[in-house]
Amino acid sequence: MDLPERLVKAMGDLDEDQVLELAGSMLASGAEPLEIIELCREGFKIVGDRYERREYFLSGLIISDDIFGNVMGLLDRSQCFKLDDSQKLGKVVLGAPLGDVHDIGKEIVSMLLRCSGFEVVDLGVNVRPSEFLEGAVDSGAGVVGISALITMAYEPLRETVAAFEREGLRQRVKIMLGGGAVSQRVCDYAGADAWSRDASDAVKFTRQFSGKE
Amino acid sequence: MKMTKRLFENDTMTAEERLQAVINLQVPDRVPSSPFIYYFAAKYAGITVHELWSERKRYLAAIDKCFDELGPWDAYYPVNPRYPEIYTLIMPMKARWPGIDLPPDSICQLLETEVMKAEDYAWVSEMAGKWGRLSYVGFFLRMIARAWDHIDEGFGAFTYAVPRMVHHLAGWRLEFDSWRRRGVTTLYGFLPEVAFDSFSLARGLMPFVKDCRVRPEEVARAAEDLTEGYYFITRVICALMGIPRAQLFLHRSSNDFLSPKMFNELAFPSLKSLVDRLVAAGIQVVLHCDGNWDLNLEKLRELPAGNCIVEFDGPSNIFLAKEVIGDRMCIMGDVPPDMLCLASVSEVDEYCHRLIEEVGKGGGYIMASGCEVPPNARPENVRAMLGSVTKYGYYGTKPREQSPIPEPHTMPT
Repeated sequence: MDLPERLVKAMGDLDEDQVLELAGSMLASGAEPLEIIELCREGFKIVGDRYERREYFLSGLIISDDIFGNVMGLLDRSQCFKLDDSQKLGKVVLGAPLGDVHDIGKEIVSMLLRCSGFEVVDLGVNVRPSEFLEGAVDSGAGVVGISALITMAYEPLRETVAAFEREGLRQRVKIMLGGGAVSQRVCDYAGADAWSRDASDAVKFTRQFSGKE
Repeated sequence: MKMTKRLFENDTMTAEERLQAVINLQVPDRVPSSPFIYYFAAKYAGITVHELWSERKRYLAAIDKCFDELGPWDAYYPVNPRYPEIYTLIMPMKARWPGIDLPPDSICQLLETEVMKAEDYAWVSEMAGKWGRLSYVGFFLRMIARAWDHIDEGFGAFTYAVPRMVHHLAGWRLEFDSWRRRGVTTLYGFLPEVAFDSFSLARGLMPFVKDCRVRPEEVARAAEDLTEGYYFITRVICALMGIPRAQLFLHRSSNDFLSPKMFNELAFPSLKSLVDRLVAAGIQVVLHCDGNWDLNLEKLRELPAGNCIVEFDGPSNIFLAKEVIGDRMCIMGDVPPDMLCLASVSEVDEYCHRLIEEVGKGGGYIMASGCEVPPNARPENVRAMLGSVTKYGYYGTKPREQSPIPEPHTMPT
């Protein structure tokens, strides 16, 4: 197995020591930082697949982000998210809806999307329907992800989807929901396109909606 | 004070006898109920959440209204903190509060910040060695001062928190006695988060997971070292409340967060130590299991049989839980929050019927919402959930229409 393959495997196995050693060796032998980032992303995909199969858990995702961050430190972290447009898979607007100030679910999805090659426009928490709309228009994002942890967010979710309808943007912008308070019933109630059971689902839907799968 | 009143004409047991029967895995006269109602009561009674938690008379009136119009229920599920800071003595996190940092009709929202630092694990173990039985107090006095800007560390935290805790507990005790007179028992007398999960809340999820990776022994040891303090405070408060049951919150140990391996190696040992000690001291335990616990169920079989309630909130497969742990633990839950908010009465009725038929088969089951009844739940759905225990829940007798036995009551103020 050559160095790149070993790096992908080590990332998938969450073997930080190996990942850092191999990335360092590749750098020393003249590899481009972006090549190493791409290999890490391949490894990250393995992590995502294992998470989906319930071989890994949220703790595994967080650990992989940590390893990824340490690799970026090795390369100069700033290069990670300074890909040019042709290297990005697409843009995603994320936020927690009006009335909800929990950000942990959104942070995890954001982390996974960025590591998967998407540019994330994070609107934060307690985001009004009009702010989601503005965020999608201003950024040109084709996907909006909304993470809700409280049932009081059901009406704001519905209002957000309605705001996109009113502006004639529902064909261009896909809306996915996630978070502990969300289910298929809530997705139907709000009129969203999909709901994600976990962060891995969110990446899967984003890829689908962006035509990257 | 012994409970004698029965809630329904067909009942042959008191609420306390019924609860004991299901905890002991015996067949009761019918399925008991214990809904986690707090914010919902405000909305149902037409007051704000700020009024609910800051005005005691209004809280009591709102809960009464739910009980009278949507219940009754068998076991009161107490959560009402008399002061917002008391919340931090259970869940060591910064929070935003309705009427303080949020609009008065919002619900309290907890923030993922680092109230606890990575170096605090070593401090916890050292402090627990010195403070022993009082280590719960030592830990939370440090956390409360970090969570609230107006509370000083050390003695300042002590003088701020302790009188308020005493006031809070005195109010609880009066409430519990009043419920008992009405034929309603109380689910538990104290409700700590377990130590491992306390760390997760206090550190913030992402830093905590990294801690579990880079310093796993330190995390597990600190949780184990706090067991003595958690045990002591739980035992004392349960005795003061006159309720020999404690709820242990497990907000962060599910498979949503941890792999079964991490749960088994890092979270479970201190949980088992605490449960074993409490049960040995005659205190039964309610495990409040948020999230998906399907892959942890087998491990829970190691906890003492016939002394624990395991409460699920929807993501776990409660029917699978009946198969895996139903012979050792009473199961509670799990009418999902989205169902209570958005589904029809017939859907709720059908789901509750299934819960009673399958999870309640042979006893060992308590009807309840999945975690909290949401503030925007449809009242008719809450009524359907609570009514299902008399509609479908009698063991060995035919169900029939019946009304609760009326009795005038007053709540303490």
